[in-house]
Amino acid sequence: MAQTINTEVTRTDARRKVTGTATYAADETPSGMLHGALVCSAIAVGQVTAIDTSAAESEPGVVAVFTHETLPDYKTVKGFYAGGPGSSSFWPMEGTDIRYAGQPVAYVVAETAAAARRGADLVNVTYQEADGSIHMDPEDSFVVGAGEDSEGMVLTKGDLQAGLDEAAQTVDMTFTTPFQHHNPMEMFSATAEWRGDRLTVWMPSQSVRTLRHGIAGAYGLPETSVRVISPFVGGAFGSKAGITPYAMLTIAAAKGVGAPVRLIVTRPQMYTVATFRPESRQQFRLGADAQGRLTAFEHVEIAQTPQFGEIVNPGTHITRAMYACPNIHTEQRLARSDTNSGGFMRAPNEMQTFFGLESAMDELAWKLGMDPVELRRVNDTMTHPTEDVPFSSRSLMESYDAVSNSFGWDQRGREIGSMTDGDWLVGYGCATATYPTNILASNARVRAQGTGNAYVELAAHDVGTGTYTIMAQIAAARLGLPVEAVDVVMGEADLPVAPISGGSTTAASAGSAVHDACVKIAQQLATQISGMSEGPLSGVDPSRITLDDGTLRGPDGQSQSVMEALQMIPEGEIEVVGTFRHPALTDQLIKATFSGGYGTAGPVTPEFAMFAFGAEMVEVRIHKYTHEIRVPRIHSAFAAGTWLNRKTAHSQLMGGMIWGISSALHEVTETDKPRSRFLNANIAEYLVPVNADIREVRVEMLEEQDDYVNPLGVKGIGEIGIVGTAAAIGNAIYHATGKRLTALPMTISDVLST
Amino acid sequence: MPKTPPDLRRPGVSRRGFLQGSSVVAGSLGIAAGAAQAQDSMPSAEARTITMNVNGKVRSLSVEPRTTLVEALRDTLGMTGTKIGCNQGQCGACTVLLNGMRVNSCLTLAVMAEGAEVVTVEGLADPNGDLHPMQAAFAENDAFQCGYCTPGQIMSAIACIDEGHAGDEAEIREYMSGNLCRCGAYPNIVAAIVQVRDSQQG
Repeated sequence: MAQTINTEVTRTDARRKVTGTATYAADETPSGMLHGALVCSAIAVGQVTAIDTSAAESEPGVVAVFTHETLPDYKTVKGFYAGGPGSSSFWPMEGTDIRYAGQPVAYVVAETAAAARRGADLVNVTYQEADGSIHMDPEDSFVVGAGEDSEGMVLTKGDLQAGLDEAAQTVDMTFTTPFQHHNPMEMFSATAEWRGDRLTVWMPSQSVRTLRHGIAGAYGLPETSVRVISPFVGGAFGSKAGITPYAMLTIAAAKGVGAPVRLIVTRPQMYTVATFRPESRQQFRLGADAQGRLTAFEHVEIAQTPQFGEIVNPGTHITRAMYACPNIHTEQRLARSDTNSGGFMRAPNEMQTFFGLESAMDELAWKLGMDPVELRRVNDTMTHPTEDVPFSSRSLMESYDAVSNSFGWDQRGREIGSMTDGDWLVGYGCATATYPTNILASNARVRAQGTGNAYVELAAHDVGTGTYTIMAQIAAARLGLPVEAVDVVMGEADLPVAPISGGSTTAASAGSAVHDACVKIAQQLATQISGMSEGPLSGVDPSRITLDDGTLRGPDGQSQSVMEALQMIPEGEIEVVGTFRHPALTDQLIKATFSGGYGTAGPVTPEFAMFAFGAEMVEVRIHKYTHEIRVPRIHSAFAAGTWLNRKTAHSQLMGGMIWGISSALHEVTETDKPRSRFLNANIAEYLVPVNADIREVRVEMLEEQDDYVNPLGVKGIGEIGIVGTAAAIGNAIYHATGKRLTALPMTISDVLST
Repeated sequence: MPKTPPDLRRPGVSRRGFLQGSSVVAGSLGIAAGAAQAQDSMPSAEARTITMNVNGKVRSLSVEPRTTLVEALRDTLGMTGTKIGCNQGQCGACTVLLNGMRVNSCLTLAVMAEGAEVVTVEGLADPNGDLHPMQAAFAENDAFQCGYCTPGQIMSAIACIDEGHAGDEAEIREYMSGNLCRCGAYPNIVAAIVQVRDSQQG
C-alpha cells in the first residue's frame, strides 16, 4: 500500500478540470432558462426618484424588467456580521434608498444574455443625489462593542507607558492598506429554478448550507424544499460565503417570470454587489530593551465599515499573539463610509495587520542594530502573551532557520544599499506569518464496501483548495484503499453537515469527521467479525481491536485487512456518519454551525492557543534609474501540523505568497472621491500579478506534530501564505533603498517620493 | 504591471493620481449621459446561420450578429468547457484556437468564425480518453487550483509552444501573461509547458 497521507497526490478532479468537464454553477442550464442582468446605481448616496423601463421592455427578447415596485417580495435576512446568513445587512431594491455606488436598482430578464444586457442599458433611472464619502475618516472612529468587553476588542496588560519609558529603542509608525476586491476568476452567478414551492439554486458557494438556510428563511420554506448546488467553485477567497443580494434578486425574478433565470454578474458589477477587503489604518508603538526584548506593544487597528453595519475582522487578536511582551495595549476600531458591506478576503484579520506589525518589527531591528531574524528569536514565546495558555505547537524559529538556509540569509549585506547588481539595487527582507487554527463542528458520511471502494459525502466545498482530493486521501489511508477507489461528493446543502469553507478550517474540521467515520466503521466491523465463528479476529474482545491504516489489529498480533473483514459480514459494507466535536466547541457553537452559521472555536481555548506559523524571505531589485520594483525570488518555510497532500498544500501556500506579492505591489481598488465610487472596476485596471510578474517561489513544508488541534493534527493553510509577504517585500525595499514604505500597494512613485 | 506608466519627470503625478484625475472626467460623462449605465451593449438584429468546424465537427448554428463566439459555444452549442472570466478581453479564461491562433472568444463575434476551425478544451483529448500532453502536464504539475482559468491556460499553452514562444522560462512567462490565474499557479503552469516542450523536442 503506497503512502497516501503526507505525500504528493495529483488532484482527483484534475482530469475533469483539464478537459473542461468540471461543472461550475453557470455551466448548468435548466430547461427553458432565461437570462438576467442587473441595473446598478450610478450614484452612491441618495434616492431613486423614477425608473423608466419602457424602452427596455420594448426591446426584442426582453421578458420582464423588475424594480423595487414590481419585484416579488421576500423576507430579508440578517448580515453575516450580525449573526445572519447575508453578505450584507442592507438589501437593495427594497425601496428607493441608495446607500452605495453600484447598488442594484433594477433587474432585467431576457431570452438571451445579449438581450438582457441591452435591456439593462435601456433602463433609465433618475436620482436625487446626496453627499457621501467612499473613504473612512480615521479621526472619526469608534471602538467595536462597548470598550473593555468580553470579545477583547480593547485589551490592556501591564503598563504600556512604563514599557515605552524603559525601552532602549521605540518605534511609532502608522500604516495604511487600501480597499481590495477578491476577483475570483469565476464571475459571480446564480441560477434559480422554481417548481411550485420547491426551489433549486446553482451558485458558486463557500457555504451551501448558509445559502440554503438564508433562502429558506427568506421564503418561509422548509429547508428540505430548497436545493443549493455548487460542485465546483472557480475561486472564492471569501467572496462567495454569504447569501448575496444578486442571488436573492435572481430567485425573486425567477419567481416573477415563472421560469428559471440565470444571472452572471458582470466583472465591473462584481466590485459593488458583493464584499471586499475594507481599507484600514494600522498604528503600532513598540519598545524594546538593548537586547531586543519587547517592553511595550501597542496596536490600534481602524478598519472601514459601512454606514449600516459593523464589519469586524479583529486583526489585533492575531498580532498580540505574536511576541512576548509584559506591557500590551490593543484596540479594534471602525470608521464609517458610504459603501456596501465589506467582508472577509483571504487572511482578513492578518494581511493588513501583519504588513504593519512586521514592518514595525523590522524598523525596530534597524534601530537596535539587530539582525531582524534575531529580533524575532529573542521575542519568540511558547506561551500566548495575553491569554496565559501555551501554544499547542509553535515552530516559528524552526521556520526562520529553514528559510534562512534555503534563501541564503547569511549573504545579506549589513548596511542599507550595500548590495547592488549592475543598475539594480538589491535588498533582502523577512517577515513572520501566522494563522489561527479555527475549529468548526462537522459531520461526514462514509460508506466502505468490501469490493474495494468507498464513498465519502459531506456538504463541504472545493474552492480550488484540493478538498476533493484530501477527503479521498483520508478515507483511503484509514480504510486501506487506493485514493482513486474513493468517491467524494460535496457541494450540496442536502449532504451531511460540514462547515463553511472559510477561516482555513475545512481540512482540519471536515477532514476529522471523515477520519472519525472510518474509525467508527472499524469499530462496528470489529464487533461483527469478533462474534463470527471463523476468521483471524474471531473471539477477540472487540474493544481491544484497533484500526491501523487499513488493518484491524487484535491484542496478540492477530490482524485482518478492513476490506477482507467487510467481505466477511453479510452486508459486505458499512455506512456511518462520522463527527468532529472538538472539546472547545460549546453547544452554542455547534448549534450555530448546524443551523447554517459559523460556530468557530479557537484559536484560543482554555488549554491551548492554536496557530500555524511560518517565515518568509524575499529578494527585491529596484532599478537605480527607473525605480521599477521586482521580486526575483521569494522563499518561505511553514509548519502547520500534518501535511495531508504535499502537492495541493504546496500550491495553496505558493498561491498565498503570490497573493502577498499582489497585495504588496499590485492590488488596490482605486476610488473616485468626488463620486464616492470604486474606479478601476475591471480585471485589467485592478492589477493582479500576471505570469511574467512571478519568478522563483520556493516553499518548505516542515514536519510538526500537534495532537491537540484535531485527531489528524492538521492546521489550516489556505491563508497563511499571504500573511508575511507584503512586510517582507517592504522590508527588502528598505534594505535596498533606505525608504520605509507604509502604504499598500508599494509603487514606483512611492519609492521616488518617500 | 501598471498599464499607464507614471510620468517620472513630474513629481506628484502617480498612477493613482492619473486615475483619480481621469475619473472626474469619466464621472461627469456618466452624469451627462443621464445617469444610465455605461452603454456597452449592442442592439438586436436578425439572426443568421453560420457554419464552423468545432473540434473536428461541422456545426451550423443560428446566431445574432452581436453574439460572441464564447456565447455561441456555451449557450447555443452547450459546450461549457470554455469559461467566461470577464467578458471584456482582459483575463484570457475564454481562450480558444481560431484557425490555429489563440483568441479571446469573448472578444470574437460568432459571425467572424464563419467557415473557421475552432478548437476548444473539449477537443484536445483523444477520443479513446488519452489526455493531450498539455492536459496531462497541467494535471501532473498541479498547474491550477480552482480550475476556472485552466481551459484558457491550456489552449494558450499549446499555442505558446506552437508559436515558438516557449524558448526559455522568461519567454513562456511573457507569452502566457494574457491568461490570468487568481489562485497563483503560475510557476506550475510554466513547469507544465516546459515539460511538454521538452518531450516534444525529445
